Amino acid sequence: MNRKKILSLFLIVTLISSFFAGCKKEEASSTNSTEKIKISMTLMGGPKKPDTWFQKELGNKLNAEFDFIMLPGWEEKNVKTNLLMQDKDKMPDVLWFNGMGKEYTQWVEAGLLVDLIPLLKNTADKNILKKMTAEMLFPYYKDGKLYRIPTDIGGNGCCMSTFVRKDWLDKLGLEVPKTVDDFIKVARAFTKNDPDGNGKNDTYGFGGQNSGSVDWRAFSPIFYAYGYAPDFFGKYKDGTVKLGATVPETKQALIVLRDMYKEGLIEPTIFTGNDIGQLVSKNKIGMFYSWQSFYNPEDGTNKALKANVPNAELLPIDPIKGPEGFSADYPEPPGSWCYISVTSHAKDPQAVVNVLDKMMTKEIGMLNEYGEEGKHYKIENGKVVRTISEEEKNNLGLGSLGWIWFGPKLVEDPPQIAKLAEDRAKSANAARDRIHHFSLSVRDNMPTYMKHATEIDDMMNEVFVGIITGQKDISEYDKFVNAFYNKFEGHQIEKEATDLYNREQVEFEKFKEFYDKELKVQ
Amino acid sequence: MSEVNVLMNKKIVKKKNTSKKIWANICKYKYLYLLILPGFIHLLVFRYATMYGSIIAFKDYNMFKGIFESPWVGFKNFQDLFNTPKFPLVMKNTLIISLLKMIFGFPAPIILALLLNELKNLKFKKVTQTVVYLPHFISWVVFAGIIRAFLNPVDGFINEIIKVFTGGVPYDFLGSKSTFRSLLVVTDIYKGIGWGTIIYMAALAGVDPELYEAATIDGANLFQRMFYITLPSIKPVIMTLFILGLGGILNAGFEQIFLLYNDMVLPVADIIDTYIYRKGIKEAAYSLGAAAGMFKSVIALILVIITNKIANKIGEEGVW
Amino acid sequence: MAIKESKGERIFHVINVILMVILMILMIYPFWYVIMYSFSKPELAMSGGAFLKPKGFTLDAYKMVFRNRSILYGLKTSLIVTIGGAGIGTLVSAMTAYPLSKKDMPGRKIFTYLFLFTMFFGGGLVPEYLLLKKLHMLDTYWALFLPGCISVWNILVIKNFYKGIPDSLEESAKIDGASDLTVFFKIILPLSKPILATIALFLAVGFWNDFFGSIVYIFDKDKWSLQAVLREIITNTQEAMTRQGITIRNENSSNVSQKTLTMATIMVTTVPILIVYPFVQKYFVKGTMIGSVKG
Repeated sequence: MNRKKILSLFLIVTLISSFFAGCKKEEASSTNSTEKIKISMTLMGGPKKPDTWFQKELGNKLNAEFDFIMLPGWEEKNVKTNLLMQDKDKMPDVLWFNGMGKEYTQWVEAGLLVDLIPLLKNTADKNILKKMTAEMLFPYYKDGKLYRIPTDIGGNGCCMSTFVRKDWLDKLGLEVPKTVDDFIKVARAFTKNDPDGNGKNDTYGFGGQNSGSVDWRAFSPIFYAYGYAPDFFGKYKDGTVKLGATVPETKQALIVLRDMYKEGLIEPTIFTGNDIGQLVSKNKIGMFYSWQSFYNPEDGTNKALKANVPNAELLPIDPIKGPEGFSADYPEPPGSWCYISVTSHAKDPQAVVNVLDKMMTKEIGMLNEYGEEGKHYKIENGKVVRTISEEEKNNLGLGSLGWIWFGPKLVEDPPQIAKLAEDRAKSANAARDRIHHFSLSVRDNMPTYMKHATEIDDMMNEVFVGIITGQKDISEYDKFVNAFYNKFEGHQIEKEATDLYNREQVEFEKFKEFYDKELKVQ
Repeated sequence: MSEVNVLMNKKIVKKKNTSKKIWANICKYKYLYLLILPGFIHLLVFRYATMYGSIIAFKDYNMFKGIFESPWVGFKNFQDLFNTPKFPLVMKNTLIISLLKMIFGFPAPIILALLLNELKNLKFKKVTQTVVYLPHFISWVVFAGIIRAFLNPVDGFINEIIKVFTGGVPYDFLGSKSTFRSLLVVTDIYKGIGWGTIIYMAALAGVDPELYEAATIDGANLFQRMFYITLPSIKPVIMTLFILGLGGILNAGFEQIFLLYNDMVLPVADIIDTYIYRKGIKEAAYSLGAAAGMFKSVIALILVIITNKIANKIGEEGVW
Repeated sequence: MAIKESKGERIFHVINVILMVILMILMIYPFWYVIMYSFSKPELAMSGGAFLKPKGFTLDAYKMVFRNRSILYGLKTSLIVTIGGAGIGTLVSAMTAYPLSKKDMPGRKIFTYLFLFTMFFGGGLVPEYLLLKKLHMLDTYWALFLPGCISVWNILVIKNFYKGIPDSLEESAKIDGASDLTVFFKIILPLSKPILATIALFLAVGFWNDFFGSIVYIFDKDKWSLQAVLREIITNTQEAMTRQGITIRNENSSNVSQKTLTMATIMVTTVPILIVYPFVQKYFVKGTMIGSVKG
């Protein structure tokens, strides 16, 4: 009986295996293309399917044979990348990565990456250089060498916005809030005047995202109105560069937030963890700071909210003005959040860069995003219309170059969304010196801060959350500032930050000169 | 002179005897050595051949230079670990959380197994067993989402009930320092209790039913039978699992805590592993991680060996 | 023989059954949640809740899961790895545990400590990767189950189970001229069915749930196990990215069906392994050991 069962189990396995052997995927034909250059490349975005139609088609178009190595999900991708990079045989020719600052330094030290400047200059069309401004390249340029280029560029300064539930405003007869006082008033009305009309006191004026740790961006409407972001360095009135958490204005913002929380205007999961899409779509919060994409009617969160409340309307508004009339949106870092490098595994780095350069065209962009015209999409009234389903699209491998490909814009955004992006970019870029992303490496240039960063963050989060939720007295704030200067060498940190800030300006001028002379493409 | 000679002769004879005896022993047990051979080869190849990697705890490890080429730093990584300002706190939290889990989480499956054992309807028993082991298969990522959906103070199911009794005042389970550890223990038990009973159920299968019959005839009631027959018969398994479980005393459950903790409960929930993880995001703390790993291992090994010794001494069966 | 129950015992049995029913309801809930979520309409499901019943009803998520090539290939990997790993692992663990349970075998202590040591210390990921590379096992199924199929924990548990087997059985067999091998295969193994079934279950579930091996040792994604495919889906979320400190335009959010798809994938990747337990339970029937001794 038992033996029979085991036997049948084995039979099933063999059957399944033979079934799979039968439908073996197509092997890329390599007979006629001895000249095709082989390029292995790591992928993070897109459907991450190996040996797809797209992969072959891309190879045909660029006269190359691609070997895509799929990186795993976000929690494990760095582990995989490190394993690939420490194995000289398995190292990809083209590496996509993000973060990994320390590893990147080690790759450069170990000679695993190739300097891209001469290679980019030698390409036929210079597509990549055409796209790269001096501002984009500056953060990655060091000592005359460029070992990585930013990809997924295309954001123009800000990807977030303050949102208000327009339908709630209308229902309660309120105006769009402009100042902090307005903001509190609207939040109060949203909390207490039953804007959803269900007769229950179950709404909150203000809420926001938390993915395991407090995301201070979620509180931007208040913090930025007072001038500084707690988790960013910025140029203070006195000319020094300070951590936003330590300036007196931040204390004022904390008091405002504390009073709002005390009144019950802030949705509490902003401190304990939630999912912003769920939070917005379940019709409980009236104002929040989040992705501009929520404004798009095709966006998932927007759709889900409308499915729940048909007349709901998310309205992005200008940033809230503080007591000094200052206002700002979250500025995106310059350059990008992810990069590609060419590794020493590439036998002919110039040929690899040539292929990459040819990749950044509108033609390849369309192939990546939509596939082949007539087969996978058609153009109606100047608009691109897909003719295949989402799953077919994935199985074809469309979108595989997501987060790698950059090039000319494929389709224009709807006008109201383009306008929103433009407006927010303006309000964000105006604040870049107060809410500052360092272009040069913080790791290399601010060792004192790096030493204490985790502890400072932990303490800031603990104290700030404690104050807002009323578990800690506001005097704890002064103790935090005290600890910052005395325990965590705050004065030294500020000195390093100020030096770095000033050096950036000088070095950027130098780089600009070099860029204009060597890299700029007319 | 002659005395010395005799002594030396004796020694040689003894030596010959012992080596002969060893050889004879090996011959006698040759099949046993044969049985252990595959496992032993596996041990050498997959465990000891890679063991050199643990030296990175004493090195400034650079993965791209290689383990051997990375420079030695002695005990610097350990000093860094013990000197981080948060180390006493995270160490304390690790111990408290894992002790709580041990105290409440260890007996839980035993009690459940005893209760399951008393179910008379075999079908019902099997179904119950199968159902209670289901939560083990829901990963923490998903389970954390469910916990949030249930406990959040805005519209969580549990809080809707609480609000009825408190007049609309919800309780923030995830944001409350005083109950967060209990939450960790309860969810941990919830997820693991059914899975934990399996091994006890296997052990209970070995108990002779005649023992029960005899005891019943002698007038033992159900509870007496439970205490004097069932429990002693699974005691060896309990001891084994307890001693081996002590080895995990510094693993308070990274994934669970990582997915549930937040800044409001950080002072009571931050454990060694989560702290190292947060440091790692900022500065790729491989050496620190390796030092923490080795520290945990040494503590675990010592604890397990000591408890095993004690168990053997007081007449209980240790693990070895 | 009918044994009369006391009143207290009867009450206990009733309470026990009620307790178990409550427990079952509690324990089935996470699964219920996932099932109901997976059948829900994506845009309705997004606003969350307790999911006591599906919000709307659609099978779209399952249709998408079964059209996903990675799931079908993953099933093959998972089956091979689970069966191979549990089979080899159980047999070799049972073999290894037997000599370790023999008090008089010379070298037993050394062997035990050698095994025990590896329970706490290991070389880490990179040495293991390099070893598998040297053995030419990278990108093969071997890499997924061979290194992990022997666990010291399992060996020690089996070993202590052996101790419960009466010595008299072995002795009488030995007097009849049986060698250690015969004793092991003919007497010890059949008597250890409950524990071996349990260990096989532990190993099978462990291998089925493993995603890390596929992620680090396999380059061809078509050879990833089901759980690796699932893990990638689960950790490719905005939240996971935010945790890593990544702030980009929210591109994934146009995909409303992400969450229902995840839930359906969980169901598809979990149900096959759940079926194993009822088979194992067969070996838990009381008196297995004694019965076979007498027989």
